[in-house]
Amino acid sequence: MSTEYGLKISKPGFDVKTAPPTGLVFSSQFGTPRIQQRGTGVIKQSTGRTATIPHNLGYVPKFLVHGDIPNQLSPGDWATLPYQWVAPFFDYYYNREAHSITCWADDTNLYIHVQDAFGYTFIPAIDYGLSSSLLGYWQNFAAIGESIPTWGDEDAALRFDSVPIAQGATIVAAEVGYYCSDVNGSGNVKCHLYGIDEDNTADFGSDPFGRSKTSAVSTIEFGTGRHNGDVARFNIKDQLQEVVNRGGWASGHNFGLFFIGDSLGDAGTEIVDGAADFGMSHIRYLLNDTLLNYKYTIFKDRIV
Amino acid sequence: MSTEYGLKISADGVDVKTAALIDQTFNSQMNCLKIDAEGFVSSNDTGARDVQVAHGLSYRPTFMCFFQVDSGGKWFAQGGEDDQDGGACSVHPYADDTYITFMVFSTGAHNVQIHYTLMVDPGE
Repeated sequence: MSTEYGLKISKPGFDVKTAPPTGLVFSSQFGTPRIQQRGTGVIKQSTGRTATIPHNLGYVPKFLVHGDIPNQLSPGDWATLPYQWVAPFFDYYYNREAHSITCWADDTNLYIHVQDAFGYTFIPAIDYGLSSSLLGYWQNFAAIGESIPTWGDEDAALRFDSVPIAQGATIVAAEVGYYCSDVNGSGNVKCHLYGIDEDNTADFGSDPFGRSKTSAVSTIEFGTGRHNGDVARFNIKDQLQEVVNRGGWASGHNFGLFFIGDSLGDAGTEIVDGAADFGMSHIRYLLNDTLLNYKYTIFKDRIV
Repeated sequence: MSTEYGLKISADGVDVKTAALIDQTFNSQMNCLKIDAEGFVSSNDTGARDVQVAHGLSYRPTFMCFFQVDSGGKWFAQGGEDDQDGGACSVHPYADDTYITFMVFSTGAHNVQIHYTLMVDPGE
């Protein structure tokens, strides 16, 4: 059977009868990617971090996704996805796989997913404070719960310096990540979580526990069975918003948190972090609800 | 020399004589990607390893690749990572004049299946 059939179109300067495949703009001897559908969308923190796009093909198609990523790319620049971001070291240590935008397809949908930590700004704790019946605030580490056997109930304070949030800015989401560098006991530890209600929280060179607390407060639980190396995450959106709304707050000021036991229950367990141990507690926050603007192309061509 | 030669096909509802390029489904002045070969390769191991496919061309070709992990049914775009199911796998491909090389990394032993599409068209 002759191979001299079909349609060829050569590039300028090539004889279509003798042109090599690289000299052709089209040849019916080769398949070419065919577009099934195209579209655009937005992924926001407030509406969930995964976009699900039906393709109705019944098989897994090839695809391309591009993204305009606020705070990562210049406005108007589009990256081919997936996109990976190198996390700050203190977060990379325990959360290194959660800083990418990934995309995949199955035989029903195309999915675009912004991973858990992507988009947040991270600020590591710079000061650690401890209040207990025997140890003072100058110990350079924080502990929550009950120190065993003699030191009694403990409260903790953390300070984060140079927080680049403008006065009055809207906080979309904020969390504290308390790094459990040393866990003594396995019981649940409960406490109240306050912001330190100051324009610019000074260091813990003097006892911080007499400072004003925010009216925003939450009751938190570390849960049972914590292990060394765990990170306990708690919502601090309201506490941070209250401090940022203060008239004397300005970008670059310092922010602090109190973890106060208030006899809520510590089940004979102490959870420690601080520069004297390891010290990777941090806050992370989002100021933009929009995490990703995306454009996608789904081809008719199948993977499987 | 006139540019009024060649073949144009417009999208449905668009006059081919006046259609903008974006409204044309084919224009012989624009190169089309031409698929030379497709196939699968796999690697069942842990850590970092390379998987290679000899492409038989004497230049660096354009290509696409997707991968799935442990027959999970999710096909990820190249360079991505499967950490949705507690694992962590990634595939980073590159081409030279002889091979497409897929740099595979996984934490723990995982079977990583790769689908590649090799184009006739040079990637440069």
